[in-house]
Amino acid sequence: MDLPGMNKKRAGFDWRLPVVLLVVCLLLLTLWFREGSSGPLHSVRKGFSFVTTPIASLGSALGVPFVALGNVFTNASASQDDLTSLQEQNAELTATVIQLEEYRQEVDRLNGLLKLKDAYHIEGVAARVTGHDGDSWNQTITINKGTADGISVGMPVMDDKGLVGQVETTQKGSSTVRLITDAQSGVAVMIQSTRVEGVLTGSLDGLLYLSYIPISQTVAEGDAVITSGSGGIYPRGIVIGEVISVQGKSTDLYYTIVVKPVSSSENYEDVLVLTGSETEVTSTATAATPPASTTPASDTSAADGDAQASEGGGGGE
Amino acid sequence: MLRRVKEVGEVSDGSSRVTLILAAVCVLLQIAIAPNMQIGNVAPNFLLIPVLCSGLLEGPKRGCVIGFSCGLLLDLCGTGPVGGMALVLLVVGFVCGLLSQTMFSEGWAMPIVIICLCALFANLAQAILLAMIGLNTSFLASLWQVVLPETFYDAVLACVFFPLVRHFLAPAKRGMHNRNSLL
Repeated sequence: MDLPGMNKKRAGFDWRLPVVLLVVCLLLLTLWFREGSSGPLHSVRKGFSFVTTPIASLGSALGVPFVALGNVFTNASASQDDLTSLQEQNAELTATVIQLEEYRQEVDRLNGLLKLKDAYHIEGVAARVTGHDGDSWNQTITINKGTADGISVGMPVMDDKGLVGQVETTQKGSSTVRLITDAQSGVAVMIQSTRVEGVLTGSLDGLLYLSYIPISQTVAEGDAVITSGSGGIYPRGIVIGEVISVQGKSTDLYYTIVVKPVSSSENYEDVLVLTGSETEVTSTATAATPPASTTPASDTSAADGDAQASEGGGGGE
Repeated sequence: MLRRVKEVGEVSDGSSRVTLILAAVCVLLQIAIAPNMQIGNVAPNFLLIPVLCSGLLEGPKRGCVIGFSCGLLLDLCGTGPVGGMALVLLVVGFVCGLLSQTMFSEGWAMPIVIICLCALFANLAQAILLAMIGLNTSFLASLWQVVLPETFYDAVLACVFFPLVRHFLAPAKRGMHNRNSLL
């Protein structure tokens, strides 16, 4: 028995549902770009993030043994001497010692952050990294402090080695930080030795690229790169990394410079969110552990404004 | 009447349940496990699995619905624009369903080819979309650094999950067929 509309269905595929969903997607995209950061879609995402943050944290905790398992395979290529030494060392360890070691490392990290605050004369909130972005296109981390702790969008984030990134979104009890290695990030920086300013951008390969350094300037591998303070987002003088490659011909306008960050996202556990309004960080101690050629900047005589500096992450918002 | 039921009810209640459970599991895996499974900077996209499986096993209509839903969840989990991945996975689910209808066979080779093609298409479409809205400034580099490795990663995961889903969906489809026969 045929029913009305049956021939139509036989004749071809019913395109109505896919077309409706396609239109909904385009409407969502349009609304996302047109609404502000407090718009309904942004609010829904914040709510969703609030709900899923505990799950992500649980996943990070559960992932620790698998990371350790990965290290086992990495260590399989170690020399026999190293293996023997490690086996002897492991034999001495007990479960209690491992637990105590964990506590000790945590205290060390927090002490490092406290010393950093004292050394740089900065105001900040220490936070724990609770998750990483599970997406290949974005390099972000989630921290366990949010608006309830005085954190707001745009605040710089650093660890005990150097600059980590910038707060992109905040919820009551957590925040998302876009790392400086993200392809959408940009930081106004300068070469510490020559005070030449440029813009540091992230990339998909995890390295940092320093742009707008004129070919007439002198840049060498190993030069330290620090924030310049131009743009007003990051205070001047935070250590970022060191130059590992400089390329440029005499006919070029600018160098192509690759910078290796001092901080590695794989090692982020505790970070410091700069909540103060400092425009410059000054060092009175060597609490931080920058590269050998790097020291926290205290030079206030550097020429400002020459570089075409622009700061902040794109973030797509 | 029987034909009507078969056509309109493209998917049975049983297979819907299987797909929804798979989608829920993949959401949890994406939120909790995927960040810890990064190789280099490439993380797997677990939500591609229910989209490809539903497209392959349940047709284009179901594929695009699951694709839209999973894409929207992925958008809410991530930091990109909301609607972007929903659009990409909607198209992927639909294309996968169409390919399976025209090329699908009971063997293993064709589903694997379709999974690989659709995974490549999904990652490529995402790269193009991000480039169009200005969030992927190095498109060519991203092809080597993200699109191809993630395609491989996603395709391997989907190929692992696909036999399981097919195994669970087969009884559900048989149940639907028997129920229709009774009508």
